[in-house]
Amino acid sequence: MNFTNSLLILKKDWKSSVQKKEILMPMIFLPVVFTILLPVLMMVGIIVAPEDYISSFGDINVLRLILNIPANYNEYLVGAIMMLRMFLLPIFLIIPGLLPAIISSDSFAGEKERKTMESLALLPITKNELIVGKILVSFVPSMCITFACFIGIGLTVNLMFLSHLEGNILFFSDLSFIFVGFLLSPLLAFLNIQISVIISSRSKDLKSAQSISGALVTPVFALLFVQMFNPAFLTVPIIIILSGILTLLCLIFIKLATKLLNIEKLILMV
Amino acid sequence: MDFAIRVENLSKVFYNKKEKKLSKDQREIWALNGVSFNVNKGDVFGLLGPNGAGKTTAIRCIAGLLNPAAGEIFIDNQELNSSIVHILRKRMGFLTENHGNYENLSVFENLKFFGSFYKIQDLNKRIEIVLEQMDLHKRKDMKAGKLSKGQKQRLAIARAILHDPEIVFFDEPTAGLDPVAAVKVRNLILGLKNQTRTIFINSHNLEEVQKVCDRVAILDLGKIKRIGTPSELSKELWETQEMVCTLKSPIPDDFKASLIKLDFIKQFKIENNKIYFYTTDANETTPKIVKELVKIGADVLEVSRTVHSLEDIYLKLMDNKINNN
Repeated sequence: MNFTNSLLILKKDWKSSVQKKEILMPMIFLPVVFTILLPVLMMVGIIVAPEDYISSFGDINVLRLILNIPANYNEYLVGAIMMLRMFLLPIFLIIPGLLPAIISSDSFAGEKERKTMESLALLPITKNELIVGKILVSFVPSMCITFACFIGIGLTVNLMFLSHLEGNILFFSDLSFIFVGFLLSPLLAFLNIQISVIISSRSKDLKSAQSISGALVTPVFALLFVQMFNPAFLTVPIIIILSGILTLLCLIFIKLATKLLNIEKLILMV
Repeated sequence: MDFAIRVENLSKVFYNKKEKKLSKDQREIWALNGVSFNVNKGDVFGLLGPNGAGKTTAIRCIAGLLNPAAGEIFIDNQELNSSIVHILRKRMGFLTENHGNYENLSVFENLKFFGSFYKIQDLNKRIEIVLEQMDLHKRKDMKAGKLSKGQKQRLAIARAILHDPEIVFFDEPTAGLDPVAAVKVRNLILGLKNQTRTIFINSHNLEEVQKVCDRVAILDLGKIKRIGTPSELSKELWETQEMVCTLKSPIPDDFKASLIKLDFIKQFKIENNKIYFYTTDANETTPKIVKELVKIGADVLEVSRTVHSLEDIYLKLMDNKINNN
């Protein structure tokens, strides 16, 4: 496999993608919403009245025990960790779940719609090089934005609680977030992209590819609800187990994506 | 013989998925049915046929985009299969039915993208040369979507020849173009012809094929009807050839008696000052006829031969088909 060929496809598609408002807008707004707006809105209540917020969930000492929060953390930080674990951790997973669907649904369905599929298929490249190129087009920006969001959320939260930190660091010191940000998110994005690329290669047009791919975020919402009702659910061992399952699925789907890519069908569908 | 392309018994079947009530056999549409032909190196080969004859399917099979139901394809004596098709494509250039340019990229960016997949020394310089050749150099920074139809087609041709391929495929190169743009494209194709480059043209434009092709295959309903040079096809389809002699003055009656004696003439007719001769081999008989006419005292003003155009050949074949049906 010639990886340079895949990178050339990535470069071309990226150039086209940033010219499209429907792709560019979510890439700008999602990080703003998830890294600034959402954390600020969620944390304001804790800064104003931390005791009220914590008492609505139960006794502070019980929460410290369940969520494994160090004893020297004050009520502000306990409230912040509570909010981060319950809502922001699963919401953070929506970014790698949602972004790839927006970009990768354009991969093959867009080529068909623009009637460029045949000229692309006539290039002296293998099917694998084409697939990898199309996956990278979504994976690279999705990961860049996810990591930017990771840093963004961490900075926003720490800045909001700056006067209450007492030498501690929120978010960045929490292993669950590190494992979600650097293991679970990339795997989730990778799997989502592969499925979106398969959907895109078999959809009649871009709109149907986007609507089907959009549904891929549903399992992430399920995770969000589980985490909301049990903030101690996404612990490091659980994240590692989930990542293992996702790795397995990624390996299955990468084979499936190459197998299911039917150039003949794609050309005849135009 | 050194063939650039060799196609043997190529068949391609599609299935009509809408008619689910029909049996599998009844849903079969044979786009190509046992098609065989060779294209010599350096030739301009034309595949001629009406819409739906299977011309585009043939190119797509040769390009390895469609999997044939049966048959073999050889490019430069190498059998085409899925493991080497991407390597063989480096030696081929394609102009597809839809121009296939990326409309949101500039003319230059389009060529840069497509050219990057081939080992081209100094790609930027090569792009400049091709743009000059296609008369697009002034529009190199323009978005491909803003070009006129003719310019889009020229950009697609530029893409097809950018890597200087040994074999270039043109699928309906002048379809939808105005006459001036069509002439430009036709001249470009003729300009591309040299001893090392083979050109394969799909067209239903008879005039175009006649003007640029060395050999022609006529395809209809997935089968090759005739194959050869236009003059070979003409000989094959018409038993007699027509030659017209125009004399200075109306022809006297005694001429007729002298002409009847000439055994190499199959048939003739006289109309005012014109004599129409029908022979089996015009090349052989034309000088003899002129000699005889001069001998009997005729003032020969003009001698012309009726050359059957590809259109005549095509129409005759299609006419035979209608009559047979």
